[in-house]
Amino acid sequence: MPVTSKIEIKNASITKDSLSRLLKKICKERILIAPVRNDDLDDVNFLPVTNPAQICCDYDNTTTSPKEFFFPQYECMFTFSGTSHESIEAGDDSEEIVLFGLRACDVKAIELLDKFYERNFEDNYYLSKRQKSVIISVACPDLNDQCFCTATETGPLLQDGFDIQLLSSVNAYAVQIGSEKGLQLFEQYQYLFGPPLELDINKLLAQAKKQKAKFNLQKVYENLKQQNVDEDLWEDIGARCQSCGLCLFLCPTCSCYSVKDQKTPPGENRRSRQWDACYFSSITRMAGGNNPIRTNAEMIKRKYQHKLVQQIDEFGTSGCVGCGRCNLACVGNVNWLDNIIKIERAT
Amino acid sequence: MFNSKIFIPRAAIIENVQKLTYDTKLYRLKFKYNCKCDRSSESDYKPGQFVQVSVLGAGEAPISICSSPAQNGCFELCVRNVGLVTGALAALKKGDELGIRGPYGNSFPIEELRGQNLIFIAGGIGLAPLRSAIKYVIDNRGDYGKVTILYGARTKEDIVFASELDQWPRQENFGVFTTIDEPQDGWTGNVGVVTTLIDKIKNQSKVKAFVCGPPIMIHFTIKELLDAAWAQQDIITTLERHMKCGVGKCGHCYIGGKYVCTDGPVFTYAQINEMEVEV
Repeated sequence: MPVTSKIEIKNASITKDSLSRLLKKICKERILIAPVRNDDLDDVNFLPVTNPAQICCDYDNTTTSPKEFFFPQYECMFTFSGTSHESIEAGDDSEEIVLFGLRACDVKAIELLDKFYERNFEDNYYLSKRQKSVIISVACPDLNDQCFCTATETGPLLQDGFDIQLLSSVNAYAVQIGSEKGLQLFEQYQYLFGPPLELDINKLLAQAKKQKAKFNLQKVYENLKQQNVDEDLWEDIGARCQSCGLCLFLCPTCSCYSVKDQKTPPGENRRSRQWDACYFSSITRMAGGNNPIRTNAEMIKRKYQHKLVQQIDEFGTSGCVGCGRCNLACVGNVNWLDNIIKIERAT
Repeated sequence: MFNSKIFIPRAAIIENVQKLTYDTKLYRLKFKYNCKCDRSSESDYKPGQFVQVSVLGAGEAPISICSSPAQNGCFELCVRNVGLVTGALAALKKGDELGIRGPYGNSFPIEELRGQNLIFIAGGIGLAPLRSAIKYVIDNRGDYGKVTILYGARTKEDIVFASELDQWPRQENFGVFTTIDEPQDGWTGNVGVVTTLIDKIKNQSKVKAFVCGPPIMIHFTIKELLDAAWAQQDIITTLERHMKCGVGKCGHCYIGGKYVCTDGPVFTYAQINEMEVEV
């Protein structure tokens, strides 16, 4: 079963008051995940909310990515006792959730993860959570300094691939419904929605495209694919990188994981998966000690190649969605965006 | 697939354990029960494929199947005790249970090579995956031409499948050459690393060569084959990686645009070069 089926886009509108009522209704029926500001830390993150008043609407993007709701940092795959595999059942902790307030880049990231988890072998741990979720995304009013979705063609508003997309206007939002799941939610609460706004979405899309892209993705792809990049760049990044993995944990498309068996008292043992990172040497090191990734430079190059060549080849979209989270997180002063621009300028 | 749910191993019973060397054992496995659902039989795999072996409490490890699919009702794994999971496996006895997921990965292009001569070059436990293909060729002997096997081990105590290496030359048109790295008391055979045996096949550079073994052995064997006029696409090897899932999700085996677990583990040297993987 596909996690989402696209429909011909349907337009509507919702006033800011009605949106508040809608979210209040959703909270009562399902789990609502939305951006919440932490005043002490002055940041915004996706959290479960029980009251729409908790929701922050004035934010660029969240510190962590929403991937954790479908691909949790820690996930029990099954429990066992003893040594027999005979009665093991796959765990399923998926719940009906609505995610509100995702930015276009994160919606595109989830779209990429959907394709990744569906291809070859279907990963039901991820897909069952996705099937039970509906995403209400809110297009960014402007590009902020940190991000570059116009270069990766993943925002700031979407042409398709969303369940429900909101576009802010005076006192109201233009609403676009783009999937079966979005339509079901819309129909359930149709009385809260109004007629389409006099908003020329095609014009907005054209305007968004005009925002200067910080690099030319095609050129970056070609330079990487054709090996035009000086090895010194990988050496330099490799020397700066502290292998903390933070950029990869915050990345909305990174999905590497490790598997561990844990004997947790009293008697309930688990096989679980946890986020892993391609910047950890343990990810490729084998029993016996041989590690096919020998240097930091190889490790770094592998990531750039994966996101900016392999994922474009396989999925037709960039593995980087331009959210800029990695740049804000790096302790070694590695700037992914600056490095992409260096790759672009290699020829 | 042996298992019907992606990450749930299927219970298998160890029908027999045979000690091959001081640290390597051969396990013959049979599934614990055979229900009439979509799960396949023990021989539903191809030479070159691997399984994820599960020992509850220790974890999972990718292990090549070393038997021939022509053998019904069971399959075999050759496992060296080198890590956490293989250590736990080493402690298991006949009648004990373990879990199996798979079979995963592509396979040796053995079907499309019917009618041709074949060369197998193995180092140490690298003979295990090749044994699946060799046994398959023996099971379909009339379909293949001359077979040459070059096998190298560090010492005579490290030789796996010693009795089979002795028996295979009795097959018609089968050449088997074994060597150990250093001279040893009681060893009258070849001495030197496996590349010293490449002279035995120098006139066969149009024959596909399957190479399996530790990284250093693969590195020098491929170099010698290239020097002896083999084309890159006629050298077939396998990449060993730290696979956690086997199904292209965990990312551990990703290299050069490929997932070794689903795109490999069998690659030609031409493909490996394109992936920029150093072997």
